[in-house]
Amino acid sequence: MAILECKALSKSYGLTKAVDSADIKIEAGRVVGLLGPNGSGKTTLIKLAAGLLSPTSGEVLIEGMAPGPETKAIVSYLSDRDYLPDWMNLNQLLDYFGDFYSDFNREKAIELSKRIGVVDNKPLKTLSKGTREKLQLVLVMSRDAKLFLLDEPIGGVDPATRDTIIDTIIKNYNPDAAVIISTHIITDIEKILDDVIFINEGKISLVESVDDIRAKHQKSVDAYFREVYKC
Amino acid sequence: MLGKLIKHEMRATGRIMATVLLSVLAVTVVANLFWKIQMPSLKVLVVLYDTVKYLLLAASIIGVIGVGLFSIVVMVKRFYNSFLSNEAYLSLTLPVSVHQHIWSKIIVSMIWFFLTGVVIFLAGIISVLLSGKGISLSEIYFKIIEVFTLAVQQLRAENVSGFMITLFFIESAIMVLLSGIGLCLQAYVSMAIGQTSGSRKILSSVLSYLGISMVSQIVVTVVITLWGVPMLPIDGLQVSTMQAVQSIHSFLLTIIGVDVLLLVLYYLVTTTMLKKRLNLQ
Repeated sequence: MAILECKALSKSYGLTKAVDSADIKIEAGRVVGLLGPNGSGKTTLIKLAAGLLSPTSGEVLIEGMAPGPETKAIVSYLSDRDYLPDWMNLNQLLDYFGDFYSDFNREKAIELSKRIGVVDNKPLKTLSKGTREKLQLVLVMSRDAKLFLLDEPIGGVDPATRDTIIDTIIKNYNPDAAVIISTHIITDIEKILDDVIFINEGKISLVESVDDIRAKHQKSVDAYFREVYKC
Repeated sequence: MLGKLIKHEMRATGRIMATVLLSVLAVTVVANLFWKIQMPSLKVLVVLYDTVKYLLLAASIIGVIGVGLFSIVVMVKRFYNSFLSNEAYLSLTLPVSVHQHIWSKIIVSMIWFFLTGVVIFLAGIISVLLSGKGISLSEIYFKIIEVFTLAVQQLRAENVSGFMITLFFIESAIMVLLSGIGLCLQAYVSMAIGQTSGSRKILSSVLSYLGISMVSQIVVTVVITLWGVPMLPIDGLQVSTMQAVQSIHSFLLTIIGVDVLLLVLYYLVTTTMLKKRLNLQ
């Protein structure tokens, strides 16, 4: 059974179709890049899978189930927003994740937090924007989830931080899980992808393995993406 | 999971609410003690003394009035943060149902409403105790008991049964409980509707609140006028106290019934909107 399946999935905001009849099937063990220009529908698609939005039509299934408490227990979601509550400190945040997610590995989270320089128990509001972003990723990757939904994990960070983030993803995801990474910055992330999905104006235009793209088009995914979406 | 949600909800609100409640009590004690201090003899000190004295009194009164309002603001803010702000990306991806989310918020809000009531009551007691009129805590306690006992004795003398008197207290307690839950749910349903409008969610929430308040007031007024008021004894009509008490019971039960129906409606709309029409753009 596919870990994530979208059947004729659509989401509209008023007259604008953010996702338009998407049909996707993602198997466990794959690292998938959800690639598209800004405003192409990547974030909406990920939010639908995370259960943060309700579809206008069609359905999204996680291990055969519609999004709900059961799917949220097996999905680890990284938002493109800073969602850390200012009133918490690191210990409270770890308690929070540990209380609600049975697959949360507290020791791993502490170790990864140390690596990004969050060692003491200061309130989260005192952390810099970059550190907060990395801390969110640490929490998400400290779970032994079946599906990781990472929305723009390397968007808006400097190249050094980008490397740290990619390194954290590669070293910490469960190999039996599926990872979906949405981004429009492809060069740095290409090396870790198995498959790619191209999305533009809400429509899925391509679902293919990275190896097939390279073999068929004799190009890197980044070069092929630029060719497809050049203005 | 409900217990865990309540635990973290208490953590989120505990520090600010505990600080505010304890501050109100502290200001009440200090203000009352200050009034008992001997007035200084130097003229310049008299001006200073009077200024501080009245400032403390004002702070104490504003504190007691404001703390109730503050607990409502905290209740609204927690719902907003959890479901309408960026924090929603954290809370709404937890493996818990919308019902558990809503109940955890209602329960924690009710705890703070109750403690706020206790603090306001204690502030009143402190003011009486430190008023300099020599009234002791035991005197206040016995006075309260005396008033209750007298009221009960008078009703008993008029052949009103103990069951009816107990029922009256239970109905009053239920009405207080429903008022607290209603305060929460009316705010929640307004925000749950308001969030569907995307970028103008705060304005939409406020407008929803005003609209819902107006409609619910009309419904309550119509129901009370049509069914509640006819149950009450008419002026000039000779009725026994027992009959009057029974009429008041029926009247209160009608109000409780309408309240429950409105709360169930608010709850169903809130949960449906968060489950089916969640719009975290």
